[in-house]
Amino acid sequence: MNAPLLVVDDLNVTYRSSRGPIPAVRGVSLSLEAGETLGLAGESGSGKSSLIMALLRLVPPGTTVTGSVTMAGEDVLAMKPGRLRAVRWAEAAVVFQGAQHVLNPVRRVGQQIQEAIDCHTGSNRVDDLLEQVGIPRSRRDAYPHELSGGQKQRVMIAMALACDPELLIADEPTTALDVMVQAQVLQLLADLRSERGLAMIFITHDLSVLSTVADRLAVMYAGRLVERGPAKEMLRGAHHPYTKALAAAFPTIGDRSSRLAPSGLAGDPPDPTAVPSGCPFHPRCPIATEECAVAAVALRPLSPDWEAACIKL
Amino acid sequence: MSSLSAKRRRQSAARVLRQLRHDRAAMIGFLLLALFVTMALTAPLFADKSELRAVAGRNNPDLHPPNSEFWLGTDELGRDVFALVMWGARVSLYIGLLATVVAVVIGSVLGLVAGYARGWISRVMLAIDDFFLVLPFIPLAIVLALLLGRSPTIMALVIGGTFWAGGSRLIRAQVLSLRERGYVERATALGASSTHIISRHVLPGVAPLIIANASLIVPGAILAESTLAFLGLGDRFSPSWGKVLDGAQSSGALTLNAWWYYLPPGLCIIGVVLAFTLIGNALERVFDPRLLGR
Repeated sequence: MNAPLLVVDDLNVTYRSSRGPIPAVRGVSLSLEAGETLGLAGESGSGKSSLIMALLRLVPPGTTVTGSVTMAGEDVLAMKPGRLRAVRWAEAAVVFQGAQHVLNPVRRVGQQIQEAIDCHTGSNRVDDLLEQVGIPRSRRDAYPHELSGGQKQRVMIAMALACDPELLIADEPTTALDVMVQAQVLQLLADLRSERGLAMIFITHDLSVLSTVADRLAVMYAGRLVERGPAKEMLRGAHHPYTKALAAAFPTIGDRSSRLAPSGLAGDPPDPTAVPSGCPFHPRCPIATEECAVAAVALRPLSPDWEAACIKL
Repeated sequence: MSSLSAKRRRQSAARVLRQLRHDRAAMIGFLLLALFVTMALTAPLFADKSELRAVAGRNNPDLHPPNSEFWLGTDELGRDVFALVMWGARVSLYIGLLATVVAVVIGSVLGLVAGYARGWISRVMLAIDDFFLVLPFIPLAIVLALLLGRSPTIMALVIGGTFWAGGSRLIRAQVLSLRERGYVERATALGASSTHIISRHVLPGVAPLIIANASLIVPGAILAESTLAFLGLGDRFSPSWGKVLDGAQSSGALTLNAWWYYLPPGLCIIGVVLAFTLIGNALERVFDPRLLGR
């Protein structure tokens, strides 16, 4: 067995602001094997995007990143700028959310895909890449505004594949798309994964999306992992009350009771500058007791490949 | 494939030209400019440069009204005003354009760096910019011209070296906004260097601003040159329009009602400033993507 493709150990991401430091990610550890897909779920502001952007050090200047990120045996956080630029995209490419903002509106999509190849002297051809994501090669001279939302997201995926990365980081790639297009893009990602043996980290707040693409699932809350385990099983029966609440927020088709009474989760995610003591979820947790406000929580194994951070389990 | 993109490029160039052709103000500007450029280019056909020398008109009548020999009369030294105005077009346009190139290059580089860099580099650039923005132009230009000399090239460098601050501010503001765009973040994630990002994504984004701003600096630079020349700076042996006006003023052409002496250079200055302003405004309209018709 080879070493894992990606190992993240005790990662902390702290943004600097005029109101003081903002800890967005607090001590996250995870690992990813080659060819494996990890789904990363959580509400807005739970630190999902901060976590994956820190994997390639794509954080604003002044942000503190501690811990370690080892990608294909190299420590990303210790790399010199030149080496870091070489690793970006060639090892791990990003499919950003909101393709319309990420594509330069005044450059043709073909040129923008070529840009990724040029940065790394890759040998892929733009035409082939477009064909792989199901866009006719005649569209390479189109400007972003001439493409639909789904096509733009496909262009982003073609761009991500340009340098044959080992790891694809998909940051809510289907968020702005309608359900049909969303399904097509997900199918495309799943196909590419099985064809190319890509490892993927797939971020979303939509657990139903993850069930179709992810092998394993990790759920974040207030900058920490609260539960992780096998995706299919976790969606059927999560242990952590937060994961349960996330799963219950989506109505089940055919189940009248869930449609008429969708169970949400009251309250807002905590302010990262003032995270509650003890278990950060206890103010919103349906099963919280007084003990939860003081006890330290950490991921504890429930079964060989399943962990949760809750003292009630 | 390259032929296709070349075709696209030709089409977009044709679109810009078509829009300018249908812009009446722009056409008036281009016609006026063509007139002045022709004047500057054909000046040697009408008068030899030696006619500009102070002794050249010693056998001519002084301050003579226009006649068939002197189309625009003569000045207080007996020189042909027509020759002065034709050669003045050369000097004024040369100074205006060179000063603009200098101002645009300095302003663009500093604006790009001040906008893209962060931390102390950006602050230092901003401080330099502020310094030049608040300096009173005329006293500074007089001091510099006295120190460095009065040839047209040096006048152009002096004007260009003090005229860039406003444009630099404008470009910096646009760069600050472009820097935060998603496609810049994407390019960073692609492993692109700062040079790559600036040249591929930021510079094209500010290029229309730079061009429109440049065509609006030209009239300012020509006016500034005229001002300095009128105040007595500038080269006596290659007189610009401002210098001709200076001569008219000091020889009392206004009180003597020698309109042929002060009116032609004055109208030329107004005309060329108008031409560049009309063209600059039209370019701004054509390049502004928010005003582009789909």
